[in-house]
Amino acid sequence: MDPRPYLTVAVILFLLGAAGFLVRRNLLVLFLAVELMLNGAGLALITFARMHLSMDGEALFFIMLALAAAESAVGLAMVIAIYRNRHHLDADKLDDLKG
Amino acid sequence: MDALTLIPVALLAGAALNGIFSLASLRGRRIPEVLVALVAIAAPVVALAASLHVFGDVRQPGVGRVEVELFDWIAAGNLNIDMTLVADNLTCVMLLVITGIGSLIHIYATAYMHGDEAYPRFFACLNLFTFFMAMLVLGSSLPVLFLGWEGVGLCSYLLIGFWWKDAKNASAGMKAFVVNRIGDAGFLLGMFLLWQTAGTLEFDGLRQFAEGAGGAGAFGADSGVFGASVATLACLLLFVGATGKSAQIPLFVWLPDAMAGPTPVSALSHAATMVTAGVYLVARLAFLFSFSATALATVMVIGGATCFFAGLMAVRQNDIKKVLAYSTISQIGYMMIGVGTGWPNVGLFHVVTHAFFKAALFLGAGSVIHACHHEQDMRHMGGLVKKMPLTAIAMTLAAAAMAGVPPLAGFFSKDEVLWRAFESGTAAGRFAWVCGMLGAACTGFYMFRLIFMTFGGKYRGHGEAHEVPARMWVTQGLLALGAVGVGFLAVPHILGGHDLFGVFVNKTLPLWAAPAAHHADASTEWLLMGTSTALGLAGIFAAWLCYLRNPRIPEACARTFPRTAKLLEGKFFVDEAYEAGIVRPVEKAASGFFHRILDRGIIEGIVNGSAAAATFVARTLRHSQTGLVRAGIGLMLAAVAVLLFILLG
Repeated sequence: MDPRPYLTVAVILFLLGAAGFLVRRNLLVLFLAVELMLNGAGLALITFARMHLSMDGEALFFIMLALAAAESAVGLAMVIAIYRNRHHLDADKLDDLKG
Repeated sequence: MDALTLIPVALLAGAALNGIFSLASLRGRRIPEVLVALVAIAAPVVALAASLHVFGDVRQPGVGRVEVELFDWIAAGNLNIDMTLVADNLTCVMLLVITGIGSLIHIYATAYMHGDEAYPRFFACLNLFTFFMAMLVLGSSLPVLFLGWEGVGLCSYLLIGFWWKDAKNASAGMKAFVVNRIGDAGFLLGMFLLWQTAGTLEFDGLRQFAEGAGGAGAFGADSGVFGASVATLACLLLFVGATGKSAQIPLFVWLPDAMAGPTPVSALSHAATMVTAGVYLVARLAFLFSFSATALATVMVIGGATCFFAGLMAVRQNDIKKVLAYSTISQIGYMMIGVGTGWPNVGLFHVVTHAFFKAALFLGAGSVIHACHHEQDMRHMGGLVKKMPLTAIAMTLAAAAMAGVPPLAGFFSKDEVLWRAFESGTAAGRFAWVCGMLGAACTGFYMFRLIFMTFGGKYRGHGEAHEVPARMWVTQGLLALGAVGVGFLAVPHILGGHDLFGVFVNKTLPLWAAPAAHHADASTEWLLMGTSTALGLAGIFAAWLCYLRNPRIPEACARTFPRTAKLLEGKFFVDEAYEAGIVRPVEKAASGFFHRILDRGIIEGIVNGSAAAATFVARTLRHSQTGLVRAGIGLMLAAVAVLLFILLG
């Protein structure tokens, strides 16, 4: 099996996510970008599992899915909480940690 | 629980219960005095019963000692210290004195302290005091002894400053504690040196090391300090501790001030606990002192000098308790001479007899003070024999015992001390003997000066004096009877006795003194005995002459020799000399150099400087923190890319 096409897609997905995270300002979109990166990494894992004919990568991917679900539950809750408090979702205005 | 463990446990339980009562009464709960008194008396009485039981066990032929290992106390590397209690003949003697006399004093104190607002606190401390003293004599190693040693120091501080609302009392307690700490520093250093030399701090282990092969070599080696041998240095350091606790020159200054505490405390600390600890320490480490003639000579010289000088200081005091305080210092001088002669049993016997007559005298003084409405100045007493005859009889008997009137207790014990000092034949022994003889004359004088000023003549005070409650005169009477009779435990051979006490104690403490170069014969012993007794009686006669027959003599003397009188009244100005020579320079160095330059300048400079540097760096670097999430993530991604490039490229 040639892994290269799959890995290419995975890299594209990851880079899209990373670029989206860096250029967009809306927290929700940032969230989507994170998911995109996560899925890019997941695709790579499955590709490697397939390549080595081992279940390890797939098992890892399932754990990652569960993790992503939990993360989005917490993350979305935080997004909602931030919106309720600040009435906006602009990541650049949320700079309370500025030194 | 075996009897040996019961001794400290009972005392500690008493202290704990009364401590709880004390806390409860602070929260406004009314605790009946009877309850506190019962607990307070039960603790030492149970301990006394247990001590008697242990004494019976130890005395059985072929037993000799009882030992209980309670728990591992300290286990650090190759240092292993068990909390082990040991009772041998020496311990038994001390235990019986501590718990026996302690019980009587506790009973007396329940009446004396009647009505005090901190009644439970007083007895919590008193029980604790007895507990620590019991630990001190029961410990099987120097650290356990040191635990008790520090404990009695703590309790003396608590009890001397018992009426702390008067700042004078609180500072007297502090003085006792601080002076004792100076001695403790010596004790600790001596302990370290022994550990370094012998690798053990158990008494048995030390003794085995000392008696084993190489022990003499290790202890005799040059310690590198003033060319003294290791044994000399260790003994002298430990003896510094003993001078602190036992109020010897040069660390005796705390004891007269300690009279600020309630009188039963003085009785307990002078008779049963605390001040005899130093004598016990030297006796317990007799095998060690045997390696150093220098240390033994020092003990004798210090004891002799203290005996005489403290005796002199006592003769012009007007505070009844101060007279007794100086007399204690002087009498402990005799004990030190005794343990320094190489016959620790004679020193210990003076501990026992002194415990009886000093406890009786202090309790008597307490009764007098109680009867005279807290008047302590003897110039405002007098004629009390009619008002309180029972106290007068008890105190006179005890005073006569202390002055060495035959055949009362002090006669036997003091005489034996002086005889051994004379017989030792060394220069230090002779010096101690001369001081002891002069001290004997002083003892007779100041004791009967106290008796005549208090009980003789006419009443010079205000208010009606009255006899004290039964609980008080019964206890002091019992102690006075002891002071009369206890001497017969050690009747010397020359008087047809068998020295039961010496034989008993020496089973544990084999004599280490080299046999005297020349044995003085019986006629010499008779002569010395006669001389010391005559000196004591002469002192009594002089006191009678000066304070009963013709009270104008002391004033005339003071006018004729004003400087001597001033020197005596000022107690040789030792306190003032320490104040000017030690306390003030230390204070100056503390506030000038240590506080202003070392603390404020250097140490605070380092601390504050490093804090300021950290602040400066942080203030500069804080600008890198933009607080932008995307900037952080971008930086992170870039860093990961660089790392990957390095690792894979």
